[in-house]
This record gives sequence, C-alpha cells and structure tokens, in this order.
Amino acid sequence: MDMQAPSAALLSLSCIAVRDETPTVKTFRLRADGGPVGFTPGQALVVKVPLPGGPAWRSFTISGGTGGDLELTIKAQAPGGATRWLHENLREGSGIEARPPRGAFTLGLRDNDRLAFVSGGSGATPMMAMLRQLADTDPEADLAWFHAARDPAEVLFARELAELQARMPNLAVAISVSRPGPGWFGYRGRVSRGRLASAIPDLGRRQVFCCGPQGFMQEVRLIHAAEGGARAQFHTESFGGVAPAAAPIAEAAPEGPGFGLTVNGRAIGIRADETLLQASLRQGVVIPCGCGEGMCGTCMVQLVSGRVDSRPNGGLTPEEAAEGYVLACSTRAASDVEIRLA
Amino acid sequence: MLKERIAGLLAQRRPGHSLPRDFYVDDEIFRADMQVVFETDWIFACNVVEIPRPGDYLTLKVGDNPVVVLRNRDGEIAAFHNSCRHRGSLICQKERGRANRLVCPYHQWVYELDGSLINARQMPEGFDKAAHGLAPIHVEVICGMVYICLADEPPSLARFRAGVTPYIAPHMPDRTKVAFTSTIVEEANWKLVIENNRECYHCAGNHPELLVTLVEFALPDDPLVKAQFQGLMDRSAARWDGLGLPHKPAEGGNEFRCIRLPFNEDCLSFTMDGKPACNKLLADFTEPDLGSVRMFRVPNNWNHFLSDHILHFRVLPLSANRTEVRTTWLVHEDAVEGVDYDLQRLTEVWLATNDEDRVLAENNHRGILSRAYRPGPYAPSEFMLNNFSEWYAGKMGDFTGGPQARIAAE
Ligand code: FES
Ligand code: FES
Ligand SMILES: [Fe+2]
Repeated sequence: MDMQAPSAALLSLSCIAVRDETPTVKTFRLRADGGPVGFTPGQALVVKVPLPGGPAWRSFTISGGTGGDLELTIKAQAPGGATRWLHENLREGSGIEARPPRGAFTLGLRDNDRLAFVSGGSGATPMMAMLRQLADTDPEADLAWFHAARDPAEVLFARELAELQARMPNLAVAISVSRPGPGWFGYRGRVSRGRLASAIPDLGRRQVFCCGPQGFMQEVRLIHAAEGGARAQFHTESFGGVAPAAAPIAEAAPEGPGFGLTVNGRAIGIRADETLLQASLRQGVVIPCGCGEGMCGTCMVQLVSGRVDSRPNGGLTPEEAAEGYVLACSTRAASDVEIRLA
Repeated sequence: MLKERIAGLLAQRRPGHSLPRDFYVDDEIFRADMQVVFETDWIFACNVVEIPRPGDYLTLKVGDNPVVVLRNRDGEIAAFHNSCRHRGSLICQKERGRANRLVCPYHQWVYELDGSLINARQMPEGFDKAAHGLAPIHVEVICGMVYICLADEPPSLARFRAGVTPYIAPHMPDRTKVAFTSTIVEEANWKLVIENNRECYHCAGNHPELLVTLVEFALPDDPLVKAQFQGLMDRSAARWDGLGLPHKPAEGGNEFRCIRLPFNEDCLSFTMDGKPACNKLLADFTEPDLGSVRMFRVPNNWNHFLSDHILHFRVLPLSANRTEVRTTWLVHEDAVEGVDYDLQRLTEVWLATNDEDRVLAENNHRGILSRAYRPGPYAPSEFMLNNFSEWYAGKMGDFTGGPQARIAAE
C-alpha cells in the first residue's frame, strides 16, 4: 500500500460511517481529506480527541482499511473519557484530526512459520488488521488465534473470524470468556498457562503477537516464556500502555574508583575497597576459598598481569609467592589485574 | 556378640561429634547397617516417570537383596524380590527394561506383572503355582517418588507424606520425564556420603560450580542470612507467599527435612550462569524464581525441586567402603532436548559437584582409616549431621537393646 507517505503533519479525517460491533464497541470508518493514507496492518493512529477540558491524544490501532480509508474499532470506556467522547460525538459527516499511522507491531516482524495472535478485550483490533492482511497474502499461514473477553457479547470479530476460517485452513480459533453464560462452548475463565497451553499446545514454539490490557500482556509474556518461548518471539502492542514492569534494579554498587579484573579470561571489575575474592564472588565468579584470612591457601590464584597489594598471612610458600601466586582473599588491586585460577 | 559390640561403640559416641571409627569402615557394622537400616526403613528407589508404561521395570540392590520395581498392568507401581521361586536365580538382570512377563532366564518360569507364577514347565501335576509367586515388597508413592520397604511390617510414612507433599506437589513431578541419569560409585561408606550432603561447610572450598547459584545457608534464621541474605530471603518469601508456595522448614525431626530456599541474587537454576536450565517451566508455573525445595529423607535420598527441573539423588551402599550414588534430572514432560534444554547445560553443575563430593567422601573415608582418627566436633553449620547421627544411633540402639532400652536411657 504505497499511497500517501506518512508525515509528521496532522491528517484531517472525515468520518464516513459508524457501525456497532458489540453493545460497547463501534467501528469508525475515516477518510483523509488529503487523499488515501497508507498504513501497515498493526499500526496505530494517534487521534486528537477534543474533550471539553482540552484535547487528549489517544492511540487507536487501525483495525482495517480499504481504498485508503482507515477503520478504528473502539470500545467505550468510562464516562468523560476520550473513548466515550468518540462514541457519543464522532458520527457520519463529522471530522477529526490525527497523526499519521505509526508503530512497529506489524507482520514485518514475522520470522517464524507458526504464529499466535493473543488478545484481550479490544486488543483484538490490531490482530484483526494483521489477520486480514494474512488472509490476503498468505492464506495458508499457520496461525492460532486466542481471544479473551469478559462475556460472550463482548467477543470481537466472531463473524469475521468464521468467514476468514473458510479461507484460511490453518487458522485455529479459541475464545475464552471470564463470565460465560449457559450455552457458551468456548473456554471459560481468565488467561492462565494451563488454559492457553491447552488451546495452543505449541505456544512456546510460536511467534506471538499480543495485545490487551497491560496485566494481560504481562501474563501472556510469562506464559509464553514458561512454555519455552524465546523472548525475541514475543511482541506486544505497547504504545498506549505503561512500559512492562522493569526488571528489579540491582542494588547499585557504591562505585568507588576501581580497576579492571580479569579472571580466567572473564572481564569483571574490582573496587578499591575489596579483595580479588570479594570482587569475583560478588560478580558470580566463584574462587574456592576457606579461611578468608590468608592462612589456608585455598584461594590461591596465579597473577597474570597487573600490580597488586598482596598480604598473605602464611598461606603461601615463598616459592609460590616467587612464582607469582597470590591469595585472592587477601589481595587488592593496584591497577588493572588479570588472574587465573590455580 | 554383634549387638554387644555395637552397644559398646554407641556408648563411646559423643553427641555433636562424628561417629566412632568402626561405624564408618567395619564390614560387620556394614552388614548390621544393611539389616538394621536398609532392610527395615523406607528406601527411595526411583521416580514413577522412570517406568511410565506397564511392564517398564527398574532393578536395584538393597544390601544383598535384588529388587525389581515395575509398573503393572493396572498402571500401579509394584516391587518384588528379584529372585526366582524355583531355585532362586536373578530374574531381571538389566538395570532397567521392559517386560511383558517376568521370565526367569534359568528354567523359564513365567511370572505375571503382579508377581503370580503363571507357567512352570515340566513341573508335575498338582504343583501349586499359587504358592510360588514372587515375594512382594511394600511400595509407597509420594509425589512421584517411589519408596520401597523390605520389612514385613513397614514403619509409617504418613508424617513424611503429609510434611513434604505441600512443598513438592506444586512442581507436578508426575508431569515430568527423565532428561538424564548418572550413576557413580564412591569409595566411601554410605554414611560419609550422606554426611557430606548434609552440610555446606565444605562448599566454599570445593564447589565453585555449585556456588554460582546455591546459597550456603540451610535455615532462614541462619546468622549468615542476617548478615548477607536478609533482603533476598524476604523478597523471595514474599513472592512465594503470593504464589501460595510453602517455604518455611517442615517439621521433619530427624527423619526428613524440607524447605524452600532462594538461589543467589538473580539466579534461577543450577546452571553456570544462574539462568534457567530448561526454558519450559514445570507444572503451570509462570514464575521462574522459585528457588529450590530442598528435601532430604533418611537413609538414602535428597532432592531439589526447582521451577524448571527436578533432581533426585539416591544412595545405595555396596559395601563398607563403596557406595553408589544415582542422580536423576527430570524436566517438563513436553520439553524437547536441544530446543527447550541443553543436556550439558542442564547437568554440568551437579555432575561436577557430585564428582567433587565423591573425592571429599573418599578422602574422608581414607582419613578415618587412620589409627589416629578420633571423632571430631561438628560446627554449628553442621547441625544436620547431628540429626543424622542421632537418628542413626537411635536405629542401632533399637537393634542392640530394643526401643525400650532407648526410652529408658533418655
Ligand atoms: S581463603 Fe584461606 S588463604 Fe584465602
Ligand atoms: S576439616 Fe573437616 S574433616 Fe578435615
Ligand atoms: Fe558437596
């Protein structure tokens, strides 16, 4: 789709149609006043929502588009918010502004024959955009679709999935709802490893595209990893949300002036206030040791290069000292130092 | 005579000290150990997943007693004395295998997997096959671990079962498979092998591979924890509480021990870099940082249950100065070698550690042969050796004087 190249300038869009997907979800069809807009399925539009209290910028995945039109499928959230405003005010004939399509959550990332599209709630929209693209470009694609919704009425794209299944023989669809009613034959309950693995037994071998609430994406990421999936095979649409929980910050070492320390070819550091033994243990390089006081000789290492302050406490023979051995527990660095385990 | 001799040695024993020399090196005492400990107590034999299909069997020797553990046609685990009821030949000869029936290789008597004799060719009319079934051995399965007992009246395993199940069951050992097994023979008495395992006083000087990940303390209120590990311990405990995984030490007395302890900071598994050994986690876990459940039970096994694999160690005495140690690595049943795990990476830490421990136990044994050997004092970090030697002395005391004598002495 090499139509109008995205630019930083604002697009002005007219709404040309609105249709109901579920009681709380509508799809808005938008047309750019400046002519067809190109996008890659999975990308999002950042819409300027003119709330009474001032404009709010909100990202919405483009759920589809044909002939240069763009579709946004939006679930109405709390009163007073941007989504509710759009539901109440954006109708056929009205206009709105947005930044051009952006985002890297697209099939351009695909490098695995087996895919899984896992979505929670309105996170299904970028998935559907990519699914339509696959249906056109690679209808034989091996794809597992898993969607979690609150109740059956909120399941998105059910009819379209059924239609696409007719064209895509390797599309497997599983839906889980957390508040099922009688007559619901899909999965029941929130996303869990057991449920996801029974719906997609080879999840860990698949490249996963995941979109949904932050907690949902975090959970699915853990499940994919627990099933043996490589981190690089897991992609989330994270433009709108908070960054994924950061890894626990390692206690910052009080960085005094230090030197380089190389142990058996492995480069680590050493602070001025610690011994060779402390520095290596602290960094996961284990030198066998005993007394810790320079008396037993267990921690003897060969000094390969560098200047040290070595204070053996009877734990080295004069011959060993002459041959360049030092006791890691009672030696400090006075320059960059390289040692080898004896 | 033997009883008097053992009673005399027990009288010399100083609590808090290693045992008198003959307990470690003497042949007669060794035979008594086999009779008093190994033929009366529950012995860890294997895991159910090692014999997954009906007819799969595994053999072992408890002292002089050859045993076959198998899965019968109902899918249950059963064990028999591996000795033919004709003239006594060994029946199953391989360490493990698969059999539709157990057929004695000598004169081809045929036993069903439930031990009953179903064919004995050339035996005369009226021969009572029903009276010549294989001698059964008691079996209990606890969280996938098969324990056997050769005694007629086995002691109760109820406290052990109740104590360890909450720690182990969440790791779902039934949904694992064997990734690797190693068997080594150590030229050391079995009690030295166990004692070596019961303390980590020796770790700093001897286990560079293990100490990348293993914390050296054994109890959450160890003074070492206070000094270095309090934050790690607190964060780990909070995480496990949130997941409903028990971690505080179980009440096992001298019989068993079970506790969940963290690995070193940022370490998840027994590997050379602390990262997982198997990417596919056990059970329904999504949290890789579960430390390890360390379990031990007298007289012959210890284990580690991690988020990504399970380790079982089985100790079987061969003679006063030889002991077999078999290690089994279990991973998720659907984990694929070369994809989810690499065998070398999975096994290298404990293969190295086992070998280091072998050398330590062998040197221990050799040194005890010295006429200058005197029982020496345990360090506080060797408190588990106290539990072990108290338990052992209790067993031997029961044998020499009967439990009455022990109670009276206390
Ligand atoms: S540890 Fe004893 S001399 Fe270094
Ligand atoms: S230091 Fe413990 S046995 Fe030698
Ligand atoms: Fe050890």
